Amino acid sequence: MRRPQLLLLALSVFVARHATAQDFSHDRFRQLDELLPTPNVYRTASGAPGHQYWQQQADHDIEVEIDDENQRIIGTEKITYTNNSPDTLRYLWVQLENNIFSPKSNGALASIAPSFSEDKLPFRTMSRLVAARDFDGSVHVTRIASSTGKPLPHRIVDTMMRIDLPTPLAPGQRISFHIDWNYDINDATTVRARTGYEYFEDDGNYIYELAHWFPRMASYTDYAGWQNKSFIGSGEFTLEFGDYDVAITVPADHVVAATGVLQNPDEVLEQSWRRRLREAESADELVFIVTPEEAEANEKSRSTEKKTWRFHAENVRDFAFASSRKFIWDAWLHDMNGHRVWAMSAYPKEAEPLWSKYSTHAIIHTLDVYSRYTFRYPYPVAWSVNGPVGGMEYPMICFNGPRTEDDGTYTDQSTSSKDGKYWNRSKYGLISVIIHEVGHNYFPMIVNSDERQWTWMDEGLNTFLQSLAEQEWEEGYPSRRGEPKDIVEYMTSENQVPIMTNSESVIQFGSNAYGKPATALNVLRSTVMGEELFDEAFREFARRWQFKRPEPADFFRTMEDASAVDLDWFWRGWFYTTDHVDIAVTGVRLHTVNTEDPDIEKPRQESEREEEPTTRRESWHASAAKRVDRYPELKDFYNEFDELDVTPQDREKFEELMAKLEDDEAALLGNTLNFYVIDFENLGGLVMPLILDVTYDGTDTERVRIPAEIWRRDARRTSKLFMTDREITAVALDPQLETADSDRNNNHWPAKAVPSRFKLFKEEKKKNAMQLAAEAEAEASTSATTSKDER
Amino acid sequence: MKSLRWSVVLLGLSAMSAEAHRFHASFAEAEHDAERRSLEVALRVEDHDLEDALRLRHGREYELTAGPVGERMARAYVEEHFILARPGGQPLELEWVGWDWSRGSTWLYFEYPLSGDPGDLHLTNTLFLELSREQVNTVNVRVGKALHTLTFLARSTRHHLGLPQASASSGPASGRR
Repeated sequence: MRRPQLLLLALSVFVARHATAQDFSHDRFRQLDELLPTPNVYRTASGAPGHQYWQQQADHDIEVEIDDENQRIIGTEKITYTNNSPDTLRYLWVQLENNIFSPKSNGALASIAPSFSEDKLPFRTMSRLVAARDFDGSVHVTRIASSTGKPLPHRIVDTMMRIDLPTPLAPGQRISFHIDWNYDINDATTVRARTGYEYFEDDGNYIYELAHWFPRMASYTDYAGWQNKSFIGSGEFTLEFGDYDVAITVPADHVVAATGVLQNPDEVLEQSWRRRLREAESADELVFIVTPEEAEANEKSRSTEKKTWRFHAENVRDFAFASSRKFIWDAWLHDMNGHRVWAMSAYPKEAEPLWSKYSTHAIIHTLDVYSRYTFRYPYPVAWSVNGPVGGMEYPMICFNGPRTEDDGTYTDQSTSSKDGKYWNRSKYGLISVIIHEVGHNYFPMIVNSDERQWTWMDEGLNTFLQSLAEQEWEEGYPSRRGEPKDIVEYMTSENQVPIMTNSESVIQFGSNAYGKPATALNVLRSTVMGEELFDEAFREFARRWQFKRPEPADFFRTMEDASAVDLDWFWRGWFYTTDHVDIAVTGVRLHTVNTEDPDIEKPRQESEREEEPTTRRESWHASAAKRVDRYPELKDFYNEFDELDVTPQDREKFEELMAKLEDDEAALLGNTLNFYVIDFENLGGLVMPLILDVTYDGTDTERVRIPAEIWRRDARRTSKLFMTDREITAVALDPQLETADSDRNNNHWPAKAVPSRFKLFKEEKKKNAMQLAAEAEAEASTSATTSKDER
Repeated sequence: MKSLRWSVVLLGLSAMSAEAHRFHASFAEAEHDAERRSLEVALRVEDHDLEDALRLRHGREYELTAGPVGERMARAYVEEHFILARPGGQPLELEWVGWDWSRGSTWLYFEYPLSGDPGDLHLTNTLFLELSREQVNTVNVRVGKALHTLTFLARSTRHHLGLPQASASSGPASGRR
């Protein structure tokens, strides 16, 4: 390595370069001023609700009946709407999301054609196509009337309905009105959705999992006015908080699980169930309220009677329920520091034995872990229900699909005697989906983000916490998302949109709205902020916005406000661009101090000169006869003089220099430190902290973490100085794969090729695990034989 | 108009972990090794997609495991759904390298030896489109340091691959970086 020398100058003069037109595109640290909304009295610059923060209140009083013969919903409700906004409202928007099940809905009309490139089409796809064509599950609104019974004019626009008010609703005023409706429930096994029924041929029963089943208020907000963008499938729900009284009438032999607390157990529960519920209060373990045997017997019953289950829920943004004769019901009253929560599961025998073993445990685990990272779970109930819906969240209740195989077995990641390790998903699939859906109680059910606009705010934050909860379930839990290295293929692909994209326009939905934000938060936590600081700031965000409606800016601002870490560069890179991480170590340069002492410097220069290779030209000429050898009289002083010889003048000059220097300056000249400059290039665009393993003298390795601000002047190239007595022999960037760096080939000095995944596999495949094991066995037996022979 | 006929087949869906949104994706890294004259592919699929696809082909009770039978079936499936072909439609031979299971995602490895002019090849990717019309298949094609992405959807299952001409060395093709 060439060692350039540093000259120490008493005075350095820098000439400022003439300023030219500003190009901000390379300023990754520019504040997000142009991107974030201007703070106001409703939302502060620190990311907190402002002193005049408001949100509307929508209370619902509902009577609903399931027609089990015809799979219909018939309902009547009184909505009481309180206008807390500073605006006068002449009309209200109400959501009729089940209108998405009209063949004429925007959602249906905008669906994309299936692929007919195959000669085989699954029955599932075929039946869905036909069912979607034939089924009309849109909402029949039969009455809209004021509190005095006067019909209210209205207009239905796809999944939205505008109700014109007889007199404008002034700020602070409250209005009540009535809606009667009915609709056909979708078969969720053919018309897939977040709601619907499942029919069981073997016993002739249904499981109903019902969501967005009642006309509910659209949101009116300070940042968007009415959020009345139609429901077309991806962008989920934007809702108001309120209190709910819901009376659900079902066949008398049904068991109902719902948002809220059951108000009339004496009327609807068997005496034995009520007794078991009382026992469960002090059991501190799982208790069957409806046993598997009772559920199986119940499946055979066909009551012609009806029962009405009454539920009350406070401060929820939605209400969902499930109902069936098939339900086994287990419960565990979980104490959360004095706040007692009923963790409960309802499932058919087809889900056993997986569900009684894992579901309620997974609910409690989720509440415990999430509460630690956010706030204590505030509701009194948390249900997990098995039915036709794969995985969907509502306040206090969620629907989870994974089930046991038909023969009652279930699978996990395990070792088969024949085939080696294999992955099956029923166990971990179930645990993961329950953690995820119960976790949604926090985001977005309580931290009430606008799902119709932003998917990442609930799915991303929730998937991030899900990965933390999974890792606390058991060691080596097979989490699907969160590891930075797993997002690399997505982040390097070209056909992306930023995370900050409306839900309906997101391509690669799973990677964009779940995987990338969850990974970003893991990186932010572990690599950028540190776990403790991140957790405090994240908890502050959750605390500030529980039961309120945050926007992305409120999250970005709070995370900075509570941590004193400027993260605009991070939000800009990860959330507003499609850049990826690829940072290269491009060189290591060594500089040493010029001591100016001729007795040190000249011999050193001499030895460097000797290290220089003889050029080919010099070698060729060396053998040729020289004129000065033939005529020695041509030689003079300069033929003998070596410029690297130390002269008395050199020493005198050095002494003069030393005389001028202060003691501390003279000491600096005697410094023998190595000044290493390590150069980096940013190829991917995203700036990230530099995590380095620096190896000294080929033996000791030091982990150095350099904040991302190293890129603040130039996001394309940067350098870092290391001063050391020792020799730096190796540098490795991102040694623990924590930054999602997409190309590990350029992460090492001296350069070290990291083979592609393909080549690595091919290399390893030469010998598989069984062959290696067989080899080891053979080796062991050989050595045993040898030692025997030796004896 | 010619009408195309297809068979409707039973597919016993395994219970799959699901979230509130439907999304189906596969990712592939395809790297052009000019020296070996080969296109090397590492393809990541969700194991439940693969299992469902194999159930569709082989019957509803089929359970996928990491053994040689599963590998043969996966290979046969990939050979039908990830096709590199010359302009006339003549497919290139797929050389199977192997597969690897990890955490719900399965990596499949294979390569296509290239001869003649590789610059004019087309890739057809119909992976799992028979299961879901929402399937998005992404192939990141790497030539030297350049990378470009091909996105395969139900409505666009065939793309020009864009490898450099045979006479050219391993220099970067059009693409980014």
